[in-house]
Amino acid sequence: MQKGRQKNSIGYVWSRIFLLPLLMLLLLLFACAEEAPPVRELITVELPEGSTKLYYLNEERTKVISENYEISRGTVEEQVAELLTELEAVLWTDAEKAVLTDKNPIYEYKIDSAGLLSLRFSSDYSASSLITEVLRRAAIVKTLCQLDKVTAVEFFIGTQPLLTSSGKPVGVLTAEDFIDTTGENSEFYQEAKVSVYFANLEGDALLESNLKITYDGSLSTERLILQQLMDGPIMDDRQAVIPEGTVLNKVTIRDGICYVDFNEKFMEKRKEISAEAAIYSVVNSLTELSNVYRVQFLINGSTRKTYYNLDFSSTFERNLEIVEGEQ
Amino acid sequence: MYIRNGEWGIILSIKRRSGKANSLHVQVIFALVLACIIPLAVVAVLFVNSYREQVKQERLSKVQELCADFANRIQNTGYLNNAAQAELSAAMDTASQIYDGRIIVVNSELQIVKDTFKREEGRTMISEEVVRSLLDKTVSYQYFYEDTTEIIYQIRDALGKTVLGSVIFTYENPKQVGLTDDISRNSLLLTSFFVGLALCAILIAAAKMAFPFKKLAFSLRQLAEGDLEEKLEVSGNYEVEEIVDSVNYMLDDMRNTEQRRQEFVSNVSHELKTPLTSMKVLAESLVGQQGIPEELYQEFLHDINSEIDRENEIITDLLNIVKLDRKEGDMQIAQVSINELLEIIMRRLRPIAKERNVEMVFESFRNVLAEVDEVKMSLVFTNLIENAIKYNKEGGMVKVSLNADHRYFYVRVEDTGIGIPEEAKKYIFDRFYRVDKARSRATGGTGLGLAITKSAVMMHKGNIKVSGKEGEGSVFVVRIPLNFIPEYKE
Repeated sequence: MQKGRQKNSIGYVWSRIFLLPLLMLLLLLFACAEEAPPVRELITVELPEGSTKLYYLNEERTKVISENYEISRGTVEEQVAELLTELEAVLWTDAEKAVLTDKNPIYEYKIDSAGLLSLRFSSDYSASSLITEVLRRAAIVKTLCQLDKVTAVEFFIGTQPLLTSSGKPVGVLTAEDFIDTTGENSEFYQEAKVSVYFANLEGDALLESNLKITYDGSLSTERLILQQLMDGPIMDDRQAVIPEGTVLNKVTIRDGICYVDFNEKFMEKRKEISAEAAIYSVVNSLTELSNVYRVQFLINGSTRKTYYNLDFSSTFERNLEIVEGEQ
Repeated sequence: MYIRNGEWGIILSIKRRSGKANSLHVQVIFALVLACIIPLAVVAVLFVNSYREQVKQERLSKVQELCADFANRIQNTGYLNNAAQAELSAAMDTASQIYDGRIIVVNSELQIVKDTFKREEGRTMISEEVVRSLLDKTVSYQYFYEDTTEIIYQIRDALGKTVLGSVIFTYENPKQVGLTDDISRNSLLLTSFFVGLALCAILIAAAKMAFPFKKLAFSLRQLAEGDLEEKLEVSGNYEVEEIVDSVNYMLDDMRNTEQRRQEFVSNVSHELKTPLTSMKVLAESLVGQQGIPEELYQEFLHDINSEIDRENEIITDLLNIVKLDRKEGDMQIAQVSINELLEIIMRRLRPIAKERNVEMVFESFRNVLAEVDEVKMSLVFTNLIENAIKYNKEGGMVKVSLNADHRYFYVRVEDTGIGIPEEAKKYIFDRFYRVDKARSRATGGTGLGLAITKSAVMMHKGNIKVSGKEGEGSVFVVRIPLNFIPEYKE
């Protein structure tokens, strides 16, 4: 009887004295810890169907903003004319227009069969501040390129092509030429076209996937590619290669070699995939980039000797033999 | 080993009345753990977090330096007009890789001259932050986002007046420190070590604190089982020593009481035997003798009778005193008129007074009604007044006065008798004490009278004082509360 009671008292006493502080200690530590670093998200922007935007400048003339605009139906020329009228009204103040002989900055436009739109400023048009001009160009190009039939815009002053301050021509501009990737909350999106390689259903060969990704432009292309590989394919006839829970620590390109640093999880190959398929899925995808010729794998910062039956310590080159249906 | 055993012994025998939670040992441990270990843990966590802040700050200033350096070199080498400069380009590539970030250089027309992602060169950057950096006067801007930080640094001309372009450096913020990171692991290791150390120290300290009490309990038990002659000796801490002193004081008191009890018993047997001895002597001298004259028989029998009366008196008094020793539950409290009580007593004692020619005076200042036990009060005053008469001079006086205030009533018995010597005054209330043994025997009495009186007075929560000069007389003052104060039961 005594023994049993003693056992109880120890347990009771210890638990009362030590459990509480230990619990608090653990709680505190866990509250401030995170096991995995936050996964970078791709911001994909949903383009609203069928609405046109009119781009213009904010009052301080420090950024390009937009509002919805209902464009009337008609020929492309009619639509361009309508948009130009709106743009002229909104991008220049009356005072600025008053000094021009023509009262309108843009006096002529022409659109050719390939969709190239030529805009001519009046010959006495002189740029106010450099920045304002650039922003105005951006607003004009972004607005007009929304039309299907307009592929690019070229600017002229009188008959001369528009030049930069260093004397080079500004050239042909499209909406993609204007980017806004700094800062966080922006409606800006970019499209990237990448080729990645997923595994076939048998797991022993690779299939090429051409992806068009809409994102905010803040990721490097190599990271984009690896992110897509880790997310897995959308199509049913192929399967993901990179193991779940794999985290990309870092990816850098130096002298044509792309160094890819994964965490430990990468070493736990998916059972359905062959070792070659696992490796070359990454290598072939990355070597699609023009500045990558070889790929070096790292696990948590250091090289490993082997990856299953493959030598893992040196660089890999592109392997087309493992790709199904390669021409 | 000894301490360990002792401490386990303490913990294991935590049981009984208030349960483990109320043990001093446990409470001390708990308090010390809270006081030491919790702060330790908090400090460890704070330290780990402040580390992240520090890394963040360091990274910020390093990147800021780099931006300033690049801006300088770009201006010096005319990079904005001719970006085909391998060294500077490579330097920016390396910098962006080290911090896992991106460097973009724009010229005054917002054209992207350099992009470490190698993607947007030639395009136009229209971000508001970049536009502002070209228009405003501030050389460097810092933007803090959740995952990234952005520094936009102006490239100025040699005079530092015109803005030629900007360097935009975006980099990853240092990750939240995870549990498996080195800093966390080290911090945890260090904290665990100190926690372990603290725990050991706490256990030892708590055991040391609680141990004297354990020793005390043990010693007391030993004392109880052994004889009470020993003194308690336990050292350890001040509190325990205070307890020990109080216990020893209590033991002294008990020993005195025991001693008095033994004395009382021996006195009682002595007192009871004395009359019997006298009777025996008287009877024996009559037995076995022939031809004793009748007057002698009468005389001896008269003496024997007196002795029997005496024995009776002694036994009655003893019974009284024993009754008074019992708990106060035997008090029959009622509203009694003290005036009446005193008058009755004095009337009863008048014959004795007359015999000795002693004058009795009763002085009453007010009518006193009090809650008292009538029988016991009667004993008290009877005894006092009787003493006053007995120990008086021939033709002397006994004066009894009664007074009261709003809380007590006072009865003062004054006589013009032989008085009580100074040294004897503190003993007169003791049992069997007699100032002059020889004379008491002559006047009768058992030596218990004043003891009984004092007991009865104490039972009413009153007190009794004596004064007066030897040879001139004595004054006894009794003070009794008007309203009876019952004992508080625990």
